[in-house]
Amino acid sequence: MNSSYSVISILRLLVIVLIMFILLAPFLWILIASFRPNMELVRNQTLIPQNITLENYVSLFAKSAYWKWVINSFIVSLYTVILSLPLIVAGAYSVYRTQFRGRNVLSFFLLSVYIFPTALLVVPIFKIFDGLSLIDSHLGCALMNTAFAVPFGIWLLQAFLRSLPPELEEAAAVDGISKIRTLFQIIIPQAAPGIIAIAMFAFIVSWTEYLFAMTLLLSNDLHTLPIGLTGIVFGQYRVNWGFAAAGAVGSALPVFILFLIVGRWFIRGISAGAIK
Amino acid sequence: MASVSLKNLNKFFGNTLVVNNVSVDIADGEFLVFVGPSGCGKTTTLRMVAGLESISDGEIQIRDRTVNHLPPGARDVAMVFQNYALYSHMTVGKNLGFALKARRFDDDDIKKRVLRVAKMLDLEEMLDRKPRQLSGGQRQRVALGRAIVRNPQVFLMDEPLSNLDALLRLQTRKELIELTGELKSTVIYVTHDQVEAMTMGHRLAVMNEGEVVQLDTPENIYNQPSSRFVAEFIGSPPMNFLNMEINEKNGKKFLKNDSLVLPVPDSMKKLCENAVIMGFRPNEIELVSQGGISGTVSVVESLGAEKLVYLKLGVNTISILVPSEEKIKSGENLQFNLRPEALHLFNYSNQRRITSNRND
Amino acid sequence: MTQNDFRNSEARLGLYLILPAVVLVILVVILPIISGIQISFTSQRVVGSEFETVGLKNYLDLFGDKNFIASLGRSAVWVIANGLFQTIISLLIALLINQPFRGQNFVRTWILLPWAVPAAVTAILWRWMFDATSGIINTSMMGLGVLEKPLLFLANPEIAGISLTFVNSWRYVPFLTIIFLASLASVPEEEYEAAKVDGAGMWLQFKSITFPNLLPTLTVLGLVGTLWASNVFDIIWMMTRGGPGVSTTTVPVLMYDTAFYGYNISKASAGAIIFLLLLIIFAIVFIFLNRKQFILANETFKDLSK
Repeated sequence: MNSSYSVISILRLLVIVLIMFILLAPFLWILIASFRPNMELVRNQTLIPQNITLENYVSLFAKSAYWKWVINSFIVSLYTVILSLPLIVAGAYSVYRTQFRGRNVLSFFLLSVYIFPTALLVVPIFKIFDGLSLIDSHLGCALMNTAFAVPFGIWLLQAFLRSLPPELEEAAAVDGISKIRTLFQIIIPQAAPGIIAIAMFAFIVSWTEYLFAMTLLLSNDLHTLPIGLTGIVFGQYRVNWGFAAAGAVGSALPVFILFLIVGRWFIRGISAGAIK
Repeated sequence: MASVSLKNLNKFFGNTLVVNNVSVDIADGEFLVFVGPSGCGKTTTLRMVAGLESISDGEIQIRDRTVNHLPPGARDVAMVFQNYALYSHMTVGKNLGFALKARRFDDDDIKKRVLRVAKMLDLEEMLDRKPRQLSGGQRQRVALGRAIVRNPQVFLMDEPLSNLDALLRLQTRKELIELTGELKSTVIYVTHDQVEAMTMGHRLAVMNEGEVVQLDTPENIYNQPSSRFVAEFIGSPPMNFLNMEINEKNGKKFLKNDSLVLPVPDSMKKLCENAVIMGFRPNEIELVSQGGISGTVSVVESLGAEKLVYLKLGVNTISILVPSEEKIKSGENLQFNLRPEALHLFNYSNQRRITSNRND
Repeated sequence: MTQNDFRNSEARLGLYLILPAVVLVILVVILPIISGIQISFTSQRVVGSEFETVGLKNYLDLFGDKNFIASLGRSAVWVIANGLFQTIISLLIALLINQPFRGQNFVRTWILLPWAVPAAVTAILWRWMFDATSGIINTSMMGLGVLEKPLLFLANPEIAGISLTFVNSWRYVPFLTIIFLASLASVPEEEYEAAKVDGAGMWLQFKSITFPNLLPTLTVLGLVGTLWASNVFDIIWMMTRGGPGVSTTTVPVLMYDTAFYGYNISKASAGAIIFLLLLIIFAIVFIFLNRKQFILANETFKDLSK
């Protein structure tokens, strides 16, 4: 009994290691590639680089608009988070903590945004945003990202909101505290881990967004990281792999740092404090 | 402080009537307890007074003012919840002062009031702590303090002691009685625990299936329960019930079943039913060595100072309380007497109490 | 029934709070759809060019267009392969990492990395891994003697779709896994303990406790995940541009190509509307079949309201 149990748990651990290997090894491999000289990349490679070079990073950091793209990406993502958070918190509170006619219909309606074929909506969106002077503007781009982050964000926050006892709001109501004040001073602080998680969600939705940025941001000065990266990598006939690798590392790095700082909050924030 | 008056309150959840025509007048400074089994509508009634539940029909007045349409915050009531509902992200001090702050009291005043309440409840050392750093009893006191600090007209308490362990519950019960006495507050208290109700309430409103079945002082309810339900619910261990026929012999009435015959008490002479439910409390018997009602001991439970003995009387089993010095073994034969005054008679069909001064 | 101002004000507040999100969705989704419908009835080639109304011509053209019909078929296969496959794999991985083990916290955080990087990074990563001459997969397989000549993961029309499905799943499975994991965490531990005491085996525990508790999450992810999969564009565009040939040209890719490289935005819009209608039919059927779960996913005040 005991030995078969441990065989199962070792097997399980092996499968987990294999899955994590498939998910993370490409990052390691591209990291190694980014330090190889270009000549080494086209030949058969050894696992350990024979020569280490920084030339790829020099081209990325010094010769491309990398820093501009990073800053632009940050601006769009920050706008997206700032726009989404109030909408998600208000929407989630509305759907999961208040009662009104049409509540179910509206929450279906919000989730239905994911029906719409984004690749095909860009034409009419371009026309509408043109009329609103939102073309070639980070804000316009963030507005699109927000629209696609909010519905699922609302759903993500539900677990946390549901775990709060209704008595918290009732106690505040009996004490004569207004609903709005209750939302700001009781519900939001209580739901802080959930709100951190959805901020992270909105940030990443925006950070990885490609289509709207490509369509709506016309000037090179406004390009975000995904657009810039795609341009330098897939723009040429032959891919310069060393440079592409450095670009990939440079684009993954900010996310990596974000994960180091708040990564462990994500799962906690969407699972109602059930995970210690 | 203020009086509260509930007039013909009804509450429907969908088509289910959960509070049925409840009318209670609570005097200024009175400690009134709603007591009953779970699902009897007591908490819903309290929540209607608080304004957390809408009123399907009827009226609630606080200090002669109808509050049906007032939101909870405008009713000037404070509520203590079963799970305390403390704001876990605020310190104890902030928890206590939050309602005052929302009402724009000035900071010095808030500080003064919070400190006074903290002193009263022995929470001075805890003011800077977060609720999760407190023990269960301390959390309970913070919840209480949050109500007291507002100096409301009425306190509403929903099973505030039920999350405490047994010893702490006894102690807190005593403190709560003293405290509300000092404050001369009007308190509406909900509990399912009849001992808590008996010890705390000036009056009890016993509820069952949405109705108030008896509203009286603890003593009167104990001595003259209005129905079989109340008799069984109030008092521990619960009252014994036996179905009895009434026979008449030589102009005298007797209560009779398969194993015992008792004369109908003098006060009940006018009894006209021919069958009743007879109730008596386990502690109101007297063991005798012979000539009493005889039964066979089936189980003996030791309660410390007393023993609870289950006796088989024919087809029925009853329980009796005897001093623990009595040496009793199961299988043994016991005899006891019942004083006629200790008998409670209930109508066989509607289970209401048959009162002694009936004239019909 | 008397009115209750407290509940009424709550209802009003609830409505006000959700309105901004609704307005935003109408602005950036519903208005473009309406505008897209308008464009689809015209002969517009590029944004801003002159055009006339042509009625249903674009739609009729598309129904006779073998390319379009084929792309619908490819989209259907893509949606089933991605939507279904990803949901099942994610659920399995979530079950696998739900029980404590050494390194669980590491896994729960870093598993998300593939989801969190831009698609361009994913495309570079996997084009590099798949590369025929210097890609690690081909070189090591050939080194081990498993393969004689390199496998053209993205250039072979027979396997390009499978490769893309793998890469797309590599990207989205982690996120779905974490959501399942969060949902698993809300299953009360006592239910498992009670089941164990009752002698229930692993399968029975899954069937009678885990699965019912997961059902609302599974339903929402089933819908949203399928819709996400159907609209995947960036990863396909960056890795194969719909090629080789048209082997990975799904509807979004074809319509994007038609609009911006074939200079025919009205035809592309018509294609988009047809695709949208198909997805709406799917969503309605899906929601109707699972309406109980959706309502359940929205219920909070189970005991208070009725």
